[in-house]
This record gives sequence, C-alpha cells and structure tokens, in this order.
Amino acid sequence: MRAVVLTLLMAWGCSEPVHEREVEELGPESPGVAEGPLHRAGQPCGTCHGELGPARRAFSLSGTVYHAGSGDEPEPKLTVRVLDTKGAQLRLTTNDAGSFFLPADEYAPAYPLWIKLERGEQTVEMHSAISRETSCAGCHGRVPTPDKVGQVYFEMPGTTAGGVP
Amino acid sequence: MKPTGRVALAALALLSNACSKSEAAVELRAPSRVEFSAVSSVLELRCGGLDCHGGPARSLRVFGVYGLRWDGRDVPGGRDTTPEEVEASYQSLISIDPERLSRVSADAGRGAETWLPLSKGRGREAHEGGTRLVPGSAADQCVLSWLSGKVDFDACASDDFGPEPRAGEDW
Repeated sequence: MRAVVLTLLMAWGCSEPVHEREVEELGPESPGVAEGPLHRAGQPCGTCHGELGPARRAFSLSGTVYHAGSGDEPEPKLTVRVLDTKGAQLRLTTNDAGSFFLPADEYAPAYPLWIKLERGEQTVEMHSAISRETSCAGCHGRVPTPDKVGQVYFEMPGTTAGGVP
Repeated sequence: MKPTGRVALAALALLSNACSKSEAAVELRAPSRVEFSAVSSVLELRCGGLDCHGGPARSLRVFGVYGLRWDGRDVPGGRDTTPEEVEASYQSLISIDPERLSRVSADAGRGAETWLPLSKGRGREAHEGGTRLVPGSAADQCVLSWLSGKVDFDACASDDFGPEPRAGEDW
C-alpha cells in the first residue's frame, strides 16, 4: 500500500501541469498535414520540441516565416541567418511550410542571437535580440498584441520590408 | 512544562511580537526620475526584449518599443517608447532591491555593483540573460552614472547594442 501511495505521489510530483496545458492548447494536427517538418506552421515549436516533450527531438531555434504581415501564405526557400554573441553564424532555409528549425543536439545558442531574413539582395533584419526563446511564435503571434509582435514575414521587392521589430 | 507546551508558548510569543507594533515608515531614496529617460533607452534594447524583461511575467519589467507595451493599443515594434512606459519602467526598476538602491543613491553611487539589477546585468550573479552590461562599457557607465546622481548622457547615447560579426565576416 505504501509503495502504491509513494508511486502515485512521485507520478504527481513529476507532472508539469502548465506545460501540459500549453501542449493541449495547441490543439490537434491540421487535417491533411502529417506529423513532420511541415506540420503546425506558425505554432511555437519549442512547446513540444523542448526538454519536456512530448516530441522526441528538442529544438534550440525554430519558427515560420510568412510571405506577408497577414495571411497564411508561407515564405519557402528563404535564408534565415543567425548570428550569436560569440560571432558564430548559421544559415538555414525555410521549408515549403515556411518553417525552419535547429535541433538542440546540433546547436546550442550563445545568447543573445540576432536574426536576418535574406533572399538575394533583399534582407529584413530583426532589430531586437533573442535572449532565450526557442520559438519565433513565443514572441510573434499571428496578430500583434501589447505583448506580442505580429507574425514573421518577408515581403517581396517593391514593398515595405519588415515583419520583425 | 512539556516540550509541546514550550513550542506553543514560543510560537505565541513570536506571533504577538510580530503583530503588536507596526514599524515606523522608512523613507527610501531613488535615483532621478527626470534623467531616467536616457537610461531607459539603454535598458529597453539590452534588457527589454519580449523574451526577457519586456515580458509580463518578470519582477523587473522594462516597457517600450522592443517589448511590453503600457497602452493596450500599442504593439511591440510599433510607435516609439512613450513617457508612460519610461515611467512604468522606472517604477519597476526602483522597486527591485529598494533598500540597497536607497543606500547606493544616498552615497553617490558607492556600492552600486551590489544592487541586484546591476549585479545581475553585469553577470556578477546568476542571470538567465547573461552579461548585458559589460563593466566599463557605455551601457554600464550610463547606468552607473544614473545611480551616482549625475547621468552621463554621452555614455547613454553612445551605447551600441547590436550584432557583432567576426572580423572579415559580413552580416
């Protein structure tokens, strides 16, 4: 009996209710999009792909870039440049969903990080640094609010560039 | 007296002592609010990002264009930092470790490095955001001068926080 109570207490003690709620609030997979690199575009990848799971692989940096400041059209094949505080640079490419990600076991960021989006000669630079957040969507919501910037986007030449502060 | 009785008596004595008299109000000093605007500009960029002190869940909140907005109609990255946001950041900052801040302020900045926000910002003690105010840097001088009672506006204005690529590499 004592062992059972102890086991229950341990199980209860190890749960992370806040994290579990965050995962739950992401909702189910979108119909027609299989679990994988193209799924859940625009969502905070790090919620599941963090040290608490439930995804198997943790990401140290991840996000989705849209074509414009509003709407769902992704910006694929875009270069996402990363510069860390030690001067190390990385270049990533967005996939067909506009998403990019860096597995935590391949890259441990030296914060603060600076981000720049690039296609040819056109660049859009994020003016503030990333200090700890692993998901773009941790700070960028689909709609701007007093504590969230709008979605990350990259407009084509001839328009006003800039989707990040 | 039984041990349990002694414990109860001691607890009662402690409780009655704690509730019997209120301490006289102590007036604390704080550095200038008027000159804080220059300091705020430094803190907004270095500390006030949405994933740090520009977030609502922090004890120290830095309001402004790069992070948390005071007015519900403003968004990060929108219009420039407002006077209300500078005021809100000031109130938040001076509420951290206020007794030590008061001593530092009364002593023309002496011992400033022990004041919690500066101690953490300099990386002197555990800080998730690491060292954001490198000792001797313009940003550090700006904050130190504010704490000493005479803001070094040149230092505040010359602070340059941005990407630093390695020599020979572009960004």
